[in-house]
Amino acid sequence: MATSADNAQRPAARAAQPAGEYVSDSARAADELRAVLAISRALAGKLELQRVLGVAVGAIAEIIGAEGSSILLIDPETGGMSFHLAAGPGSQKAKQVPLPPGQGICGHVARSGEPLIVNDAQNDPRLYKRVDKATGVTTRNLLCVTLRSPERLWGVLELINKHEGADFDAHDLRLAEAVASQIAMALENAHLHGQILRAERMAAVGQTVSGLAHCVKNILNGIRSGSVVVDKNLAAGEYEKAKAGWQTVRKNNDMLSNLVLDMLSLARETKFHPFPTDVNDLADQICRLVADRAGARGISVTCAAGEGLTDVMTDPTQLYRCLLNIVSNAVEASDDGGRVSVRVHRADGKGRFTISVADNGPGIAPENRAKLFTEFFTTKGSKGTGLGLPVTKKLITAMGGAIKFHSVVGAGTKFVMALPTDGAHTKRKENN
Amino acid sequence: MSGVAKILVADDEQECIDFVANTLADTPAELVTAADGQEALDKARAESPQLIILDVQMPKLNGFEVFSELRKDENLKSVPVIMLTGIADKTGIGFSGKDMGQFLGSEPEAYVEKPIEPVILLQTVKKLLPAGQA
Repeated sequence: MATSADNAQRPAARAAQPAGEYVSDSARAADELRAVLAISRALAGKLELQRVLGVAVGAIAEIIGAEGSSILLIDPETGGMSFHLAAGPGSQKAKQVPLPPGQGICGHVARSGEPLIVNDAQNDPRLYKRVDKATGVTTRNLLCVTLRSPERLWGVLELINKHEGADFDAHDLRLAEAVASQIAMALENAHLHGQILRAERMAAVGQTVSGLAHCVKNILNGIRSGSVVVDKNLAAGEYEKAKAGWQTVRKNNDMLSNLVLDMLSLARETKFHPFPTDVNDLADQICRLVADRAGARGISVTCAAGEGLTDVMTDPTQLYRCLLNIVSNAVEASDDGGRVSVRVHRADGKGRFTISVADNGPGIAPENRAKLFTEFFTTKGSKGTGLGLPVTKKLITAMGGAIKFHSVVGAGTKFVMALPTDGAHTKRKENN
Repeated sequence: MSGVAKILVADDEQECIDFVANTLADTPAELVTAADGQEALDKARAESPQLIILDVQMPKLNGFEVFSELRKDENLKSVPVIMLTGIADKTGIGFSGKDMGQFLGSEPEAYVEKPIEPVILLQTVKKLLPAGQA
């Protein structure tokens, strides 16, 4: 027999209870209240949602004294429902049986929004018998309430087969409704939290894309203007001027290449390939490369070698990129006529060698220091991508090293990279 | 054998071969080139180079397949190999050097990333050739 919530009460039976049992009833009510409060606290806590819901579903079955309990959630696309969580016999199999929209007593409750007690389920035409068939559990009676938050109907909470052949009553219904409203709020909170996370991710992607687009646009602009200078001066036979245009094209080509490599390095784990490397030679080559550009502004770039570093097991490509980044930064940060000095220091007692890059430029403003290794942060305006230092830090750290800097406003900046000489960490990382 | 080393460079992009040739122009090494994996293997057998530079993504046989064949060849198995890896290899679209190395049982002596940094390629070549040959 189906009984609506209001009709489910049996006040007459309760009123007829002897006075002694009221004491036990109030003790039971206190126990139930404590249990519901415990569920509420768990649901409002910071534990993982699925785990908390599992606890709530198990606990409500225990308080009410039901054989099984489940949370069925509405699929927003199909409008049907499926067992999201179930406790009790056959619960795993129940999860494999979806309910078509409006089907079953649960579907009816979800559609009408009215809670329901059905104490003679087998004779109720709304019972969705496929669930019983799949689980092997005969639903004798059931209690079903909606999971509704202010924003949305999520699904239903269902309890089946009250212990010892008893019927579900209005008291059980009130308890179930109290817990159901808490479950619905927990679902709503998790949903909102997910939405916030997604929004944050989208904002990050948007920021990255606009940062990238900005960099690429500047670089392309440089390539275009350099090409115009080359074309115009080649036609006029002005080769020295054409050469200057070509330098602009080359510089921007390098920037684009670095930008792509930096983006890849940030987005993925870099594969390291340690190889016996002459660190002094690398540092020297970088200084020569940069000295050409620096010389035009009267900046001197010097390189001092360290002893015993001709066969260091490290990844030469990544070390080259990191060092080129730091030395280029130092030159760009220097005033005309400034000094940049690169020093390679032999391995210390801990098997680490260091490379320091010092300039006598204006130094890094204190408010910028904490942001130096943050993606897309740059003080170079359109000349910078804001990726060089974050990538350098990521690579150096992944190679088992560290990077630090010390800066004095008005006096200059010194970056120090320390790396292992045996590349052991890099190898271990690779083999993970 | 003369003091000049022979280096085989295999890449299906002519620009890349030109770039490598340019980078190694100041070394006394003699360059032999191949435009696909099969040609690389044939030239390696015919020319007995002292060093082989292989692009990963090549027609007919990819760089790792050529490498695998070289390691099975009695005459060529100890010839050092530099693998040129591109962006596709780094993004996982192509091959992972580590995985392929584990799969093949051995890894190439060195990897050089594209876009090739001349300083790195030059130093790697010098390290892998006997003294005085590069």
